[in-house]
Amino acid sequence: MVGRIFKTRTDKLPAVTRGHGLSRIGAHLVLIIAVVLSISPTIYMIDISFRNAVTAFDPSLIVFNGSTLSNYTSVLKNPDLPHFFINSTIVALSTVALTIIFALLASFAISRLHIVGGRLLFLVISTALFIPLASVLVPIVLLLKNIGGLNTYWGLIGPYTAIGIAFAILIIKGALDSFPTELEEAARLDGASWISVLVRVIVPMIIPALFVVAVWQFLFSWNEFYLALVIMTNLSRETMPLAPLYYEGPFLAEPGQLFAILSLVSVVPMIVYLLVQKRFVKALEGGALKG
Amino acid sequence: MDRPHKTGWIYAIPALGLFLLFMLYPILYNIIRSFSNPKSLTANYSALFARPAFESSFANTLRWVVVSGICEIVIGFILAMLIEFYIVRGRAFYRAILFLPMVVTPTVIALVFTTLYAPDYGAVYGLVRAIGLGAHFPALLSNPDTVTYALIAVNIWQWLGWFVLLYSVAISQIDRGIIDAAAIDGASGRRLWTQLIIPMVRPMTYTLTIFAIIQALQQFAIVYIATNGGPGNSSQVMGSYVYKLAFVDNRVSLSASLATLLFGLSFILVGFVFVLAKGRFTISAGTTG
Repeated sequence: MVGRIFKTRTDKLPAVTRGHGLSRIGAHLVLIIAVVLSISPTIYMIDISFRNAVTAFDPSLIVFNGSTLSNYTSVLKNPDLPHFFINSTIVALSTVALTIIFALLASFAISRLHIVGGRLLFLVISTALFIPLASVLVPIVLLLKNIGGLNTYWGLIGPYTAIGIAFAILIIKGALDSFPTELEEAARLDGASWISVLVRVIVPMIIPALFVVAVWQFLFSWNEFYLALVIMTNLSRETMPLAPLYYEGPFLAEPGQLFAILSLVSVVPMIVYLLVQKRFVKALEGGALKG
Repeated sequence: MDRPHKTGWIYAIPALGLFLLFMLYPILYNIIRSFSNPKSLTANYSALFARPAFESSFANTLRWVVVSGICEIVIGFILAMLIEFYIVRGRAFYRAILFLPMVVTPTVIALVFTTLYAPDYGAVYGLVRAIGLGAHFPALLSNPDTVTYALIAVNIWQWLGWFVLLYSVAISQIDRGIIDAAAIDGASGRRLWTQLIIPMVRPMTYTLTIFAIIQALQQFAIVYIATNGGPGNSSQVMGSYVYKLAFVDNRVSLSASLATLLFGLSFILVGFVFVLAKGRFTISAGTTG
């Protein structure tokens, strides 16, 4: 019922606000202040990473003179830095792949195969959305300790996938439920197996939903700190969010170097975001609002 | 086709298996461990409540939920409303820039803000000094009265863009014709907001409220890196105190009790919003169809 009063956006402003030139300038002003507040800490971080040993302690947001690349050249000499990067890449990409595959299979079983107890299964797995990480953290660590999962990639990938799967099923099952099954039925009548229906017919239809899940899960597993801190205690297995800890202490006298590391840690998620943000927003907009 | 599929459960086993292993088992483990003290059933809980840090972490967690949640919802709605109703060109730009902090690693954010807030060399101090109030600059992170709110501000800074984006999507999907018609019928600006626009985005408000609650209860990285719960335990939250009890104080059973309380708190708060919402939620990401 609610669906009928929503329709796709137009670029026109509603009559109630149209032509109020002054209020439009006011709106821009408020938003520009918000944008400045939103972007300054990031600019500050990048700026300090280029400062020299003296200007690093200048209490200004931006220092224009005395820029140097030496902070980057010294931190990049650290032989451990590639480990953090490689570990994060392995963990994040595996997590994304497993989350999508497992969530897709489960959503398919619930939404298309109508398995017995499918509704209950969906409800039970959805409760994971409301479980704070801290309330499961210690038993996960004890469990991994017993089965040799500490300082292994799968020791992080397993819990990360378990955390992401509820959101993934919510989104993917939602997408599956929202389009008709005629094409699949036709493919089935033509003798296609369920797996080939899933891969050839269903997956191409729900690419935006899979995309949202992939972006969300990548950013989550790339940035996750709490589990990584307690599961990866061996330097050779640590992920990017742990890297600043090694620079925080000894380099506090050298803020330039600490901030060079912070900038390097942030650069991957920021590039990923800039590359995907248009499609990500479009995918969110594409979903029909459910009343 | 609507007949239940015989072997369909095979497809659901990986997802269910991970849920059982890394969600249900840990929850049950914590519940059982929290009640298994040789002295009495509730001895772990009494020992936990007797620690002053517990009260601090519990009160701070509630502050995180309330302050962070209200600011994110209210400011997020206002900014989204400005973007959707007053801006013709630049909507995508505003939404994209405001969303950017969302993708920055929390450990990085914590260290950047520790420096920003620092007396003597932080940029916030620099700004305060520039307007001549440098002598009155409060050391935000070392004062027990301000530290939690200074950290909550960091969290709001990071997550606001998510609230703006989702509200913006919800508002953009309202049919403008209905608002125009109401305006032509003589509805005042205030009535348009309170009786038309706010009710129409209510499903999104419920969704975002639940999101804000869970996100506030998840806090660990910012507190742990910026203050490690200090000074004293004045900025401790339940998430960081679970860690301290288990891995610093070596009191795993007390940490299991706190973890169980955190889990219970999440279900009570989220359940409360669910009852309020009566099923009107919106979570969406589309199909190509």
